[in-house]
Amino acid sequence: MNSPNEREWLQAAQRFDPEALAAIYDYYSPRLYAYAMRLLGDRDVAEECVAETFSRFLHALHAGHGPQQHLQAYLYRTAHNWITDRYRRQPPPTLNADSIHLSADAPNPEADLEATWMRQRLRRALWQLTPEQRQVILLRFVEDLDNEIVAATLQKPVGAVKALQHRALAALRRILEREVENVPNPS
Amino acid sequence: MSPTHLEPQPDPKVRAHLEALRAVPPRDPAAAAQGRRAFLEQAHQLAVSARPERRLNWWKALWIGLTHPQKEVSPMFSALTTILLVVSLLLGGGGVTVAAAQASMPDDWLYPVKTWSEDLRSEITRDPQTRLNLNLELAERRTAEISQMLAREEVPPEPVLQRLQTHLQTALQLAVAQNDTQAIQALERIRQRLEVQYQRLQQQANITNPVAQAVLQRTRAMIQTHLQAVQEGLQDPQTLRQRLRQGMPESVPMPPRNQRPGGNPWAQDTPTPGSGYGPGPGPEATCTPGSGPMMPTAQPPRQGNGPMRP
Repeated sequence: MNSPNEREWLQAAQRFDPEALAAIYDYYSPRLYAYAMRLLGDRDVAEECVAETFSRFLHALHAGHGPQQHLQAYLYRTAHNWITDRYRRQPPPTLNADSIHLSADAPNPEADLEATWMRQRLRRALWQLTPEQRQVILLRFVEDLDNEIVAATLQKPVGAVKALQHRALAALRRILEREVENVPNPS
Repeated sequence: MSPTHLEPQPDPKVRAHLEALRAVPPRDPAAAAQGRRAFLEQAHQLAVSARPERRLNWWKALWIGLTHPQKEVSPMFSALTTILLVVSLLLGGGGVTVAAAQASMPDDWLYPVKTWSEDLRSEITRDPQTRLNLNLELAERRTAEISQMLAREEVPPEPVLQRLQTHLQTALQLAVAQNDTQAIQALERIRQRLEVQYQRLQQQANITNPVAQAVLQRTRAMIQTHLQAVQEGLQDPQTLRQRLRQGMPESVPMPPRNQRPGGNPWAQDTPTPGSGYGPGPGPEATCTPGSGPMMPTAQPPRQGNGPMRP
């Protein structure tokens, strides 16, 4: 589903209305940052991803090729493509870079440690999927986008997206199971 | 039941991992604010270059309509372009006209056909390498046209300079949109060709018309500015990518390797927004993703709604 203002934002953005562009940035940049962070675990690269995504958006508007609808899908797709292309040959070197901040004040340090461990495992597993599988898993089950938006992001019919989800989840489960056999739980 | 009719769900173990991924450390407020500023500044620059405020008389509007059909001057001019093309093709003279136009100069009546055919080539060229080479070739054409007009003490029209700027900037964007190794190779090619163009302009010394002299200085400075950007990119492509995102190269200082007495009027005197030297109009004004191989950076969509996919 489009955000309530998306259509108005897009129309105003095509006129390079600064308020609309600022609203779009304020609304979507935290989401894109989170998306990139979840996939990469690197603050700097996540910021770069956001900057590049919005830069491409502006250039597309300028060239008259910007999105006419589904702005959210467009931005996620652009961010995903940027990440995929940047790490086409090898996964990001920062997959294990989640810092673990444990202190005496932490309410549940063991849970924090476990969550960090699971994040790292999942990231490594995600990067063993195909780009589309990775994209559909993140958008559908982490970003909680509905199937229509995911379909618009992947530029596929909803049915094809569901089939892709099946394959992606099965592949992810296999990879995680294989990792469990090989990697001991540090906690 | 077919998988396409089910709503697939992760099993509990996978779901637990996915839930762990939801938590994201807070974004650095300073970095976020800086990103926002850069975005809005870029938007401002593009907005200005997209809609330059100028007084249009009929021949200026015709010129823009014919040479930059994407610029929304008036739907009539896009329609006029189409009608001219159709009539030309119906009369069987389209190819002849376009071929004849290739040798035309900016003050010739066939010149709009030349630029139109170039825009068409740019539109239909998908391969990034080919597009890069095309933009270099077009930049050389513009430089040659400027050079020839200046040699006749004539002043090249502003759109010619704008197109040169657009070709150079697009070439840079296409170069750095590749991975570092390919980017450096492409930048080296650009450097060599720009140096040839610069040398050509350096040989023009006996121009007495002060306006033509100023155009010569501007053109030299434009090429120098891009040369320095290329040299920066050769040392660190990432730096150049960031600079391009921020709207370079108008503010780039002059490169030390070329002798430039008198400074750089292009870089020093020309404000970017509204100066007419920004990305400019035309299909190559931005570096956009399209349906071809995906490029890592600076590749906004080229067609339709979607960003370019690999």
